[in-house]
Amino acid sequence: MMKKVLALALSLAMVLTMFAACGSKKEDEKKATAKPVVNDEEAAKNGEVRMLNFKPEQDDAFKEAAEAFTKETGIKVKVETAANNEYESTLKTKMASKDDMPSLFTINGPMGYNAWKEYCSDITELDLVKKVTDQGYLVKNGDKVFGVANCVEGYGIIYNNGIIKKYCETEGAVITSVDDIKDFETLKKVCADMDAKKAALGIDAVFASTTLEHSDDWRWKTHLNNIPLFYEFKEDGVTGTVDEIKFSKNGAFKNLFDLYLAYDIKEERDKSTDDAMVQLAKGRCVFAQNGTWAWGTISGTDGNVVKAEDCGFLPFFCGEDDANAGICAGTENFFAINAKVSEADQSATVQFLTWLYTSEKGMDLVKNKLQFIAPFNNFKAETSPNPLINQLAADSAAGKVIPWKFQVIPSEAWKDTFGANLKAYAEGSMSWDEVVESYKTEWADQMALLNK
Amino acid sequence: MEKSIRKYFPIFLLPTLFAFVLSFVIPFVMGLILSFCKFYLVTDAEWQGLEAYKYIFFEDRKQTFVNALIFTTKFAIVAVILINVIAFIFATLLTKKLKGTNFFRSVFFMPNLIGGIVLGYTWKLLINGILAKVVEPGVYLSSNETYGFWGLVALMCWQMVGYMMIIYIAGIQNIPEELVEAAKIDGASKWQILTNVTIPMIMSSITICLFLTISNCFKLFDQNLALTGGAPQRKTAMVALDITLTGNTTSTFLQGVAQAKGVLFFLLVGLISFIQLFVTRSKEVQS
Repeated sequence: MMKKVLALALSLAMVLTMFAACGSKKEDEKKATAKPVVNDEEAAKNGEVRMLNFKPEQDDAFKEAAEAFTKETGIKVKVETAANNEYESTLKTKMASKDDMPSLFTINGPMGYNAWKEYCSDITELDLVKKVTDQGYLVKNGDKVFGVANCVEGYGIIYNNGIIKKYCETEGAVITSVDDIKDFETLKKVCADMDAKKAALGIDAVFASTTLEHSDDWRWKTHLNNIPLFYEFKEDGVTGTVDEIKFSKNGAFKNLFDLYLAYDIKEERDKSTDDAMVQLAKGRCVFAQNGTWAWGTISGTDGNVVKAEDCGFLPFFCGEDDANAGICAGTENFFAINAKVSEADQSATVQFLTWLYTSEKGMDLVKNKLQFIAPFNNFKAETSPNPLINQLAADSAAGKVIPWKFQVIPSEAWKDTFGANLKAYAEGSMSWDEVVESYKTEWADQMALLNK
Repeated sequence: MEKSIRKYFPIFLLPTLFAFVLSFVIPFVMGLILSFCKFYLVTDAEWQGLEAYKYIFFEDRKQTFVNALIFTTKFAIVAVILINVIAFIFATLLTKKLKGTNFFRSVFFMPNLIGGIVLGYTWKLLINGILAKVVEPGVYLSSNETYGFWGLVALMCWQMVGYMMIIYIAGIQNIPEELVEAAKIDGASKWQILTNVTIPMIMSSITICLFLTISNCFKLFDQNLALTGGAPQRKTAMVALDITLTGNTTSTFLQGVAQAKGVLFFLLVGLISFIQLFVTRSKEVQS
């Protein structure tokens, strides 16, 4: 008897889970056109902001902002932070629990929008969106806006001018100051000459190690990859995602990558990106490709020899349109407002965002606590203790930057393959032609899977 | 007494049953269903039938699952043999009446207490250091799948030998001394004692050890992730890692594929374990 009851209970549980897994989607058939976000100041008072934060290092700052906002308006804000590298899976779990869905979350660009399409509300009409300094800081589908950048980051070839100055004084130096490097040819000559004078300059190599292990190859497979993507898209007039890629500007990528490989600290290519930054900080090399965020590691290294006034970005001179070369500026963090939370919550979220980026207190927090370069025109460029951020701000203002395009890369799997291929190329087990071929076929494969 | 046990056993069973259903049966059934769906969130899955399974075997140009399976099988064969042979040798040595056996037993057991991720990274540094000295600077564990394979084997042996050794020691100590003595009196050589007395008597230990090593080798994940991460070009990705890598995407279709791979993986590990258990059981000495 009991056995039967048990068996019944068990099978009931199974059947129930089946319904749980498959039944819930009938009600809201996938809507292609997302509704505009609701912004009702009255309703906002009863709403709640639930934010899922992408960056663990900014957890405290966001919580502080949330507290200040609640104090002023009485609207509750809940900030939750996903653990490092766990953002996407945390977001998935949160979105699946209907009562605890975040009202404010981040997507990484067009690909993130693709995955979360049904959850991104149309924010085209928000005042904040109209304030962005560049259309590149928005995630769009047609004319509609679904995501807005919450900060701008930038990367280029970081240099230590201290050593460059020393080099300029050597006999037969190719340049007289770092400003003389204006194209790829000059950069190449400088590198070769520096390499020849390694001992005199007291360096191990010109570039920091080209880190090629799979956890540390993002500086090439993703960041440097922005260069060929940008120039190809520019030439072909592409604005969104593409199903097939030509990799027509692979020469630009190869120029720089070969240069790195020729003159880097070869013995330590298995080390981490942070280790590479330490190499730069300790004066073992002159250049290292990385972004604004690297200053923390560099200035925090024991025995750092890179002075703030000596640290800057060299634009990506790659032999392609060098006259307009720039550092890459953009973001992988776009705020999106959840279309599936209540109208009160949506309104509250809009209020919070507006407050954060336009009120005096909010702007102060953005600048000094979150330490973001906000992509909105009500923010004035101010000096930061981070010289790389200052340069990024100045270059952005002057319009001398290359926007980030790599968010259109189909998948992590594509990046992994490209990264592994670059490693094989560096080690000589793969030819450049094979790398180019794989770049294209892999892209088409991954896009086909995405659209399947 | 027996009657009341019969009457009330569901009440005692209930908490465990609840936990089992919640954390095993439900996810398992959901996983099974999801392997026939494409989905990004588990709550809005869309039925697609056998598409994902078809993709794994016929449409995946790189055949990642099949390759991972081949690599895993090769690894499992080598690792299972090595681990068990080494563990058995250690166990035999450490059951002899030698000085310091207790000390050595603890030492050999210790690697088992360290987590797989930590071990993976430690061994990676170690092997990279050795390769740079022995082969040439600039050659790493991740440069060549042969290094990755033997690196994994070495790591697994180092980690699991101690545990298996303890099980073998327990088995060997349980052999009645009279049996060995009788064999000696009958003039059996050491080899004959080993094959005709020791091994049949510890067949239950062998069953457990084989079972543990085979399933551990097939399910290996942490060590694989930390040591090679699949490099170069996913050639050293074992099945569990391959599933994770497949699922790490925004493609709703590939999520389903990863789920389907998971189901196949479950069937495979289940099947192997059953066959293995069945075969060795039938050889055990009934006491």
